[in-house]
Order: sequence, then structure tokens, then C-alpha cells
Amino acid sequence: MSRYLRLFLKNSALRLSSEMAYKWNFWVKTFAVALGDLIGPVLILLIYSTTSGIQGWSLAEFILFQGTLTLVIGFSHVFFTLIGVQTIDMVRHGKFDAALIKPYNPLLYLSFTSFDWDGLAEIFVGLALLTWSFITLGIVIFSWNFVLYLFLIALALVLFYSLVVMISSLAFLLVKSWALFALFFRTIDFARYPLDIYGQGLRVLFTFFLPLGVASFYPAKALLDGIELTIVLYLMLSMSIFLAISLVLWHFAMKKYSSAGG
Amino acid sequence: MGSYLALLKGGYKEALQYRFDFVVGLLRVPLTLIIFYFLWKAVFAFNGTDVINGYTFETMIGYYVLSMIVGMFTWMDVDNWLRWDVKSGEVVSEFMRPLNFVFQYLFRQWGMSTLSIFISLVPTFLIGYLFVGLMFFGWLNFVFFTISVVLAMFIVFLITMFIGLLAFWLTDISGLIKVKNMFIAFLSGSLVPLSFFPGIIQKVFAFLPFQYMRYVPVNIYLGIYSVNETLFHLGVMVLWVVVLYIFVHYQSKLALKKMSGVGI
Repeated sequence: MSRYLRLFLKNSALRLSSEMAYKWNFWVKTFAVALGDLIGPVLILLIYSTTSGIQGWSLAEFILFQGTLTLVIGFSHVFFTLIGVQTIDMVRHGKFDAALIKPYNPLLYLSFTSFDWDGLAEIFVGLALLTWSFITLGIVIFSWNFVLYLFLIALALVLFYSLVVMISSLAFLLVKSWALFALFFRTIDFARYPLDIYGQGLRVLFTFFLPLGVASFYPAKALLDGIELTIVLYLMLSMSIFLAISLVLWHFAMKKYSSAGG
Repeated sequence: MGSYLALLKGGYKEALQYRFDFVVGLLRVPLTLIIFYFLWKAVFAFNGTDVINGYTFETMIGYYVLSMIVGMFTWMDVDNWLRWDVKSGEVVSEFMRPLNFVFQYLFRQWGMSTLSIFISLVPTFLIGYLFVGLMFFGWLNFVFFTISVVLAMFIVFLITMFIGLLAFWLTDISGLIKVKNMFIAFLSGSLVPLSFFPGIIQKVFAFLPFQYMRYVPVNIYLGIYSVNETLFHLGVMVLWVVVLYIFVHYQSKLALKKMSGVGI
């Protein structure tokens, strides 16, 4: 394991120094990422300042909801997104062999060389939104609900990791899977608003089949109102299944891979 | 003119290579609409009013449908091309052709946009009319709307061109491109009608080109302005196009000087 830790630290340091080669551009990019994360909260702020909002959610609760999602997206941006970007790019140019001949497991190799400094701003914006809403709502951190909240966020990260691995695997079968990546980000947009605004069908879809609810709705519910243990158990089971499917798919893709012969 | 048409055709063929992405991109339209549909349904239901800020539920959803349609016509990628062309030095060939530098990029962009517009325009209008009750507000509005979309397209193109040309002076403009996209997302009204912003901010918006990219054309279609107001807005848009064009034209001349300065 320490081998991988060393790999991770060395690679991340390398990525940082290449970002710092264009220091000015890095800060502009960071600013853009932070602005992008504020789009959702600004929309909510505008809606709540001209109307009384939507049922069951005060402004601060809504910001807590969106802050949670921003944090989850931020972590997966920093740790997972480049796994997909690297794989798609390598496969398209027939360079994936480079990842195969390294003395590491290919998936772990990719997972530990994908730290994206661009995403840190996203984590900070998420934390800032959460801090504001925690203070406004007077949320107690030392509580059972808060532990559940953190646990559900961890489950959400398992889901996002699995989805990125699935998309990366499909890169081997479809070669062009940028579009799938774009679709993935679009689908996440559903998690930007509470599940209770959607119709029955979509609610079931995002709880049981594509459990995006775990990235924002269920953690927020757990913290604000508490959540039934059966839902937590179900989500645990669901994330294990997602992870298992993504790994099976990855191994299938590995067998399928034929390089460009270069 | 023939040479420009060739560039247009080239752009179209370039787009064909990415047709898979375009088809998947098509799915974006219904996904985004579903989200806004449910969000506003929840807001209207909880507030118990028929009209919020001058929009009924139907015109609000119609607003998003139209905003996406305007978005298809105003989708511009020239800043990314310029970033790449300047970095790789390929921009030399654009300068060497006996054609207007700015127009070359415009026609290549038109060629590329044609495909996505072909694929997405009809489905989006259909979704609008069949599922979310988008209405037709008369031919006069429609003609004004069409004119405003063309003008909006030029405004977005010129601003994108301005950012792209900065690649001659800055080492990497990828961050700047993202910031520009965020500004457009916030200030053009693609997120929410700009009348939701506080009055004082709206006054500032009136002096910026962003509201003409989505908000004004959509409101023209929805018949929110009187004929006089519409004509006034169209006049301001023409003014923006002229001013931005003059600016970008001279910027491209300066870019050429800057480039010959480094001996290419």
C-alpha cells in the first residue's frame, strides 16, 4: 500500500508543478470552478427572495442540501474525474499499454494518479455553503444524525467512483465516450433539487435504480429530520452492487483491450 | 463568397465526426427541461399564485424551452479553436488566406452549428409544443424573435472571438474561457429570467451585452415587450454588434502584428 501512497504523492506533486507553470491560468480556472458551483445556490437565493420557495425546505435547508452535493461533486472531481479523462484519452490514442506495463494494478494505478487540483475550489465552496447553513440552522455536530450524514456522503463517493469506472470501461468498448461523460454530469443535475419535487417515477428511479439521492437528498434528510435505518441499509447494499458491477465491467474491458499496435 | 462556403462545409464535416456526441447531447434538452419543469411546479404549487414575476407556469417553462433554442444558435467554440490554433501555430494559415480573419472563424462555426441545429431544433420545438404547452404568440413576434436570435448569435460570436484572440497575448486562456462561460450562464438569463434579480442589478444588466444573448430574444417571442420596446432592444443589439465587431477587427490586426513580432 505504501507503494501506492508514494505513487499518489509523487504524481500529485507533479500535477501541481505543471499547473503552477501557468499560475495565472490556474487561479482563473479555480475562480471559474467556484463560480460554477454558485450557480445552483444563486438560483435558489433568487427564487427564495421573490417567492416563499418550495414546500418543506427553508432557504438555509436548501443551501445545506446543495452544499452537500457540491462537497460530494468536489471530492469526486478532485479524486475520480481524471480516472475517466485519462482512460478515454489513452484508449483513443492507443496509449493504454503504458498503464498496463506499469508494475501496478491498472485500475489502482489510474486511481492513484488522478488528483485534480482544479477541483479543490469546489470542495471549499461546498464547505463554505455548509458552514453558513450549519450556523444558520444551529446544527449539532456531535450527534448520531451527523454520523449518518457523513456515512451517506461516503456512500455517495462510492457511487460516483463506480460510475466513473463504468464510464471508463465503456471507453474500451465504444472508444468515444466523452459524450457519456457529459451525460453523466447532466444526470447529476437531478440531484441538485430535493427528490420530493419530482414525480413518483423519478423518485423511485433516483432512490432504487440510479441512487443519486444518496449524494444530496438522503444525507440532508438524515441531518435535518433523521432517516430510517432500512433506507441506509438499502443504500449500502445498492452501492456495493454498483461497485461490484463497475469492477466486473472493468475486468471485462481489460480483456477486450487491443492496443493500436504502436 | 465561394471560399467562405467551403469553410462552412469544412466546419459541417468536422461536426459530422462528432455526431455521436451530438446525438447524446440531444438528451440534454429533455433532461434539463424535466428538472426545471418539476422545480417550478413545486414553486408554483407551494406559493399558490398563478403569476410569479410576470410569468405563469406555462410561460416559465416556455421560457426555458426557448432559452435552449436560442442557446443552440448561440453555441460558439471559436475561443477553443483559437486557443489551439495559436498554441500549435496553425493560425498562420488563417492569416495567410486572402480572406477576412474574423469571417473565416464565423463560417467554420456556422458549418459546425448547422448539424447540431438540424438535430436538435425540431425535437426541442416538438417537446415544447406537445408536452409543456409552449404557445405561438403571432407572426410579428416570431419575425422579431428570429431577427433577435441572429443578432444574439453575432454578439456571442464576437465576445467569444475576443476571448479567443487573447491567446496571442496570454500563455493559456482555458481558465478565461471557463470564466466567460460562467458569466454567460449567470447573466444571460439561461438560469432564470433576469427579472428575478434585484432591481438595481437589473439596471446594471441593461448596460451589458449579456441579457441580449438569451433573456431579451426569449421575451420577444413570449410577447412580453411592446412593439416599441422590441424595436428599441433590436436597435441596441445592432449597436452592440457594430461596436464589438469594430473592436474585434482591430484586435485581430494587433494580433497579426504581435505574431509577426515573434518572427513567424
